[in-house]
Amino acid sequence: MTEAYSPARGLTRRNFLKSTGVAAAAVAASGAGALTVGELAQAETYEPGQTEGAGEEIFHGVCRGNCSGTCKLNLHVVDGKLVKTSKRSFNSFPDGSVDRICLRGLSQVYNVYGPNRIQYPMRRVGERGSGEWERITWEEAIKEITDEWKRIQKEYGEQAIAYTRGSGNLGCISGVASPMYNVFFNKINASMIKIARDQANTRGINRVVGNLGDWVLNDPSDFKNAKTLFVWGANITDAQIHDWHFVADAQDAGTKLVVIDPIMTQLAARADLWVPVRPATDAALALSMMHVMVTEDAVNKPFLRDSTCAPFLVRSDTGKFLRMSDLGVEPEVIEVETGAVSAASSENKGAQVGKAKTTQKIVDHPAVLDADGTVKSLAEAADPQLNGTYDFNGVACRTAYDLLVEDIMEYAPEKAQNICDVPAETIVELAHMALDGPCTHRLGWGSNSYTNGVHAAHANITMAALTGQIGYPGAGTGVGDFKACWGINAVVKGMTAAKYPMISALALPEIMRTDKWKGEDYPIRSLYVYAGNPVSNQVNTNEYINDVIGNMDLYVVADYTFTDTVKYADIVLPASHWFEQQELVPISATQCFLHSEKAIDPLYESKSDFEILKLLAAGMGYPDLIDLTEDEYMSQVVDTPALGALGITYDAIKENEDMYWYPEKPWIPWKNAEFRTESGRMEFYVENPTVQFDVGQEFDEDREHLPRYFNPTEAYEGSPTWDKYKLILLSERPRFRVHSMWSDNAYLRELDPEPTIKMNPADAEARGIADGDYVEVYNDRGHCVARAVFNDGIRPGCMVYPKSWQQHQHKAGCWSELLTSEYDPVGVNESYFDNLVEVRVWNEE
Amino acid sequence: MAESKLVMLVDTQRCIACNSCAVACKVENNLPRDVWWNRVMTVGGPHLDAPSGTYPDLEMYNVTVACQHCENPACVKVCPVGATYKDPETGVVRQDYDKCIGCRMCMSACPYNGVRSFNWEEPAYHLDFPVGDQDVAPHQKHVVEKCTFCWHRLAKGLAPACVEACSARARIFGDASDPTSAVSQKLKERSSMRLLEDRDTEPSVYFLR
Amino acid sequence: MSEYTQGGALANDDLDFSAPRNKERVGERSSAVVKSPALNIAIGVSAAVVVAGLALWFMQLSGGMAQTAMRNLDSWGLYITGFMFFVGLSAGGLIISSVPKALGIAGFGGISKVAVMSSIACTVAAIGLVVVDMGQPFRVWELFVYSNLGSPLMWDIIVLATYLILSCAYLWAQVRAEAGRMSHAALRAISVVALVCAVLVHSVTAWIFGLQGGREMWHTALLAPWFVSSALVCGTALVVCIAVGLRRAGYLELDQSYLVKLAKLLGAFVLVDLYFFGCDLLTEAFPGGSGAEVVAMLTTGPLAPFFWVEIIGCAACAVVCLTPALRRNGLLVAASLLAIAGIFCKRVQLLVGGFQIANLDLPFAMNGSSITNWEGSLADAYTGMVYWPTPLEFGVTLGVVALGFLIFFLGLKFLPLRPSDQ
Repeated sequence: MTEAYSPARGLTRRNFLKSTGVAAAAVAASGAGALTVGELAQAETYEPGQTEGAGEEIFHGVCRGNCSGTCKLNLHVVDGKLVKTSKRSFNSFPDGSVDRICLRGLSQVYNVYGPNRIQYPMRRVGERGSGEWERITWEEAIKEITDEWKRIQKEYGEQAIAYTRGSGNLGCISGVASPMYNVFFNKINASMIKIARDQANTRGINRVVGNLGDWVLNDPSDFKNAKTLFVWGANITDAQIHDWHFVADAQDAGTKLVVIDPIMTQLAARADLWVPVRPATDAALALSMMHVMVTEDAVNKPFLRDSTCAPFLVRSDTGKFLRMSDLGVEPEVIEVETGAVSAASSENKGAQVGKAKTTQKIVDHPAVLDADGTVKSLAEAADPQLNGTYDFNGVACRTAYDLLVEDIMEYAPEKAQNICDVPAETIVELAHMALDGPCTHRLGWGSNSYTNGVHAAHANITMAALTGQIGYPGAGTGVGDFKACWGINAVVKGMTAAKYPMISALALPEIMRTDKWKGEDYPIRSLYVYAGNPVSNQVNTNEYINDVIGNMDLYVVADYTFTDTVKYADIVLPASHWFEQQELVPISATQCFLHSEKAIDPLYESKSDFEILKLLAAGMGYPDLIDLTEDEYMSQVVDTPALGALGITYDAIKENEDMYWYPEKPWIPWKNAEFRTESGRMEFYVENPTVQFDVGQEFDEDREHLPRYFNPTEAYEGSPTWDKYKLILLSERPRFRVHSMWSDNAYLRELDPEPTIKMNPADAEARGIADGDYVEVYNDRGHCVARAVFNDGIRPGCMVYPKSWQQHQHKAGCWSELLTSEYDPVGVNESYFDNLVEVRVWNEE
Repeated sequence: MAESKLVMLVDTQRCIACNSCAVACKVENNLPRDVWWNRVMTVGGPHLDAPSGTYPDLEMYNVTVACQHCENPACVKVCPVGATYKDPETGVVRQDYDKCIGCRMCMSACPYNGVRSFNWEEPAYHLDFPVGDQDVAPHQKHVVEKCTFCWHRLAKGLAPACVEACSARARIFGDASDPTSAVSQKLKERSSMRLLEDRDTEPSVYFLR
Repeated sequence: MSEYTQGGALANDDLDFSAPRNKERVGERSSAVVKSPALNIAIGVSAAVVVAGLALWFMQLSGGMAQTAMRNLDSWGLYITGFMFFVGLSAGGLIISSVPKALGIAGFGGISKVAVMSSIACTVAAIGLVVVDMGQPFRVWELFVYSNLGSPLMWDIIVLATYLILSCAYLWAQVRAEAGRMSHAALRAISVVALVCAVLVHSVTAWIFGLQGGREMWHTALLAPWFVSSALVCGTALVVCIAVGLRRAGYLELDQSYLVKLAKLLGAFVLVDLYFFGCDLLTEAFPGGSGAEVVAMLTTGPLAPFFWVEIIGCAACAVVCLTPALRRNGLLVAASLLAIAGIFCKRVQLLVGGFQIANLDLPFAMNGSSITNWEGSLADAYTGMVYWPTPLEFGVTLGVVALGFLIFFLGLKFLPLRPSDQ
């Protein structure tokens, strides 16, 4: 953990600092940076890694907000106080390739000691949101909460207690990957409310390739193996700073960078080609690129034939594949093992995490046309044909590929250029670049944030089916690789199955308004929020405050700092900060399990979420429910046979601080074109579309079979609200915050002091807005006041706001008030960008 | 020991204006409120992160600006009491808070406006204890201060905090008098520029293009 | 013109104590303490303002210089403007007094000692303004212990101190000479040294700015001679005002011919000064580029009011001084005040102009210590004057100026500054 302080060349701190001349300078000549420099002449005199100052202790920590970086930190402690956080090297990557830190990791000290820390349990005394509180004891708080819960459950049923989270801690004990919440809340049969974020691209991609996790792509260190890296609507240089150097490394290695983004981001400024696309038209652009590939006959036919559903015949009557059973051949029955599911995956339905199981699978082979024109089982056809029709007892059948091509043919570059506002020549150029592989396509949260986002991702992954560029170095399509390790176990001691199904956060307002869920009575009266700030980060804040919080009898929030959500709480519980507790982080873009030490004692009266759960369990009458230590639970989470086979154990993780969880580096998904679909192929034709989350919705199955381009709900010219609002409101996840975390960090606020809205000067001037004016951005859902900042990098007709300022930081309103809670029935995803607004000068104080 | 010339290279292709270097400097040196020795500037439009040009014909890159540790420092020449001086062994331009009389002649002389920072009042802090490296000299009211190339870290054989903190790996630090050093090699490989070269200050900070 | 050439004759040499005696009415004995209620009130008021200024200065020191409008990007302000200005003002008296003696030419009547007194007062004010500008005035001693003799500021400190001492010595020498206790040769020697020092003090003050390659506005070889010419303008103008004022107050008698002589000199100095300005503007503007930016800033930009007050004020002064029909006392005083105001405006242009054009005009995250007007964009900060003093700075400056007045008035009261009636 700690290395002894060895003053360089025998200089003590005091005499060094006093000396102004030669002795100190001689040492300085050997000055070299940990890992970055290291080539100085006197490098042998320098010790790599951190050198502790006198009286300083260094603990290993992990930054675990939801930028997904999970960077390792040195936690420098002097006299029991955390005085500094600095970059710490990964033992799993001795080459230093993933060592990094950012402005947020560096400014942690303020998050720990800032004046906004919640110091003790509090009870609301004024109106909700008034900020009037009284201090209470932990005993009072727990008793009040659990008494009220008992009353509510008695009155409204067990389901009336609900719990939810955000993404403010990626830990497996007190964070979002923690099974401990399920242990407790399943025990009292509460309802779990699942956040509905960043799921559209998951759905669009995973329904084609299968599920390896929500967001899967070649490891970023593989970018350099691509001839061209396409970045589709990903603001890496703000939202995933930790990945940027991999892009830069790739550029140094000769990889071309293409950025498809309506906004001139820092990333776009560094691109070899920036494609300023009209928002929400990525699907049309991808379809048009495919049009070029198809019309130039440049598609990868062997790949299409051997690794995709292209040759499968599709019945025109049902939209399903023509199966051998249709042709009278009995299906085979085979034994298969289903994959384990990670805690953070959308497949996680509560207690079923981490369990691999063997089931029987009925294999009913799809029928294809062989070269000789006959229809055969896929398993038997020698040369399945990509094109062709087949008349099955009067039912016309066509190959999936033909159906796709028919769809693609709608998007000739000359037509698509009017949709995407990208010149036809550029579309052709992009297609040629994409054909000249290997190419990596990294998708971001841009296209994912409209109600047509599922199809943008679906179109992108389908392009990989046409080029065959997937599953080998430099070739891949997907969202950045960020997920929980597949091998962990959530069935820790005390875990029971959830009695009620999870409910999407997007469905909650309707439940609260009607007390009904899927037509059945389903009142919810209390919500417990941890590691999250839904008031700030969830769409349609006024609806959330009025319909959700407004209909709650008891809204409990555990947090370490005052957030907008805390502001509306009835009871606030002071959670301890990350560095005040031990934690194991199983969700990471580094593909590592990470152990974080407890560096300092919990400040004030704060307690770790784990300790809070114990108190709540005791209050509900289960004092022995959570009776193991943190270490024991963490051990239960990671000490699984699957991980053990890789040498990964809890003790080993604690010892090594970090442990890489794949057998190889860099990790590349879909190697050998092995996909996790029913056929094992890329099924760009989705035979049985399903929804990301069952909220009792209906959807147009026909639309979902193939990637389509269609308008989003609101954010397009001519949409239903177009007559009132003519600006598309986009957000960025700025580097000065991680969602709403760090929003009260005084160091960062010096750099980024107040809410701003970035506007193209043309849009501003048309509305009489001057640079620096305070402006009110508004639509039917709400309003928000911020300072207008002219920026020519903003696409005319759009505005961009750096997200997640807290309400008190605005002169009025807040950004999330403006966001639609409409959602695509298939993606069931918050559509942050699918908004039209207008803007005017704000003259009030 | 032979004289060295410590230089900093900042790769403008890699710098994304994330401000990690600025924050690292702020915390490491326990900089008072409103004091930033290292600032990120956008070369583009009139605002941070705003490009020049008209959509979509746009351009933007960033420079991080701190003391340039000039080989021919204007500040050192004018300081009447030698409170700012050049360390002969390393080329680092240093500042002695105890000596500074607060005349701000160095600030007027330095062409790199704003890299020198005067504590216009009693240094105030966001937290009530010193953060960062505990070996950093305490800040004083009414004296001039600036980037020290993290002198306290050099003494421990460490590169300046901003170099360590740059996740973009945009910063390279080392001895330019050694032809085999990484900085010397990089300067040979890449074209570079320095700020306000026409002022003949011979800065030790190079921006790779 | 003819008067001037006549006046240039040796007949009216200041050193010839008989000459003024013929032309001036005999006043009271120089050594006598002046008993004038007006002077006492002036002393009292000055002293009161000095005390108020001191209080404000302590406020500045304890509460911090954040109370001034100076910030990192405009790190000097009214104090240094005032310093430049008072150094210039101090010149006139000494030069007017010493040139005739040093060169052995006709002087300007009995105002010699009063003129030197004004120099001393102005020098004290100039030094005072440097002191109030310092963040750590209690470390002044370091200047002598850790002197960096390469620093133009150090040169200025040395020259300014020497200048102050010499001015006092010169005044003392004149008094001694009048009393017949010092040889004319010795007085003449002192006057030569004083004159050289006067020229040096302006040059060195100019070099504080002119040697800075870092600021476009300042970096010109012309600055030192120009400072000398400007000093002559405002110094002479100050002597004219003092002479007219003191004569009107009955403190001394002065033949109008001396005033005319001074006026002609002033006119000539103003023309030289304007000539330098013209040279400078042309040199800046001609190549275009950043120099043209400087000229635009002065003529049409944020500093235009100061530019035009100077140009018009100096031009008007020259017209009055060089047109015999206009050389009436009131007009001469007005012309002199215009010249003084013009030179002050020049100092403002020079100081603020040095900061008005940013070398790195790139946006960054500004805050309360970055620049005076930091609460908008960087462009906003430079729209209009980048710096404008706070009331505290005006107050402290007023206090220092009052110190100059106090010293001058005390000199009038207690020192034998009237023309000798021997």
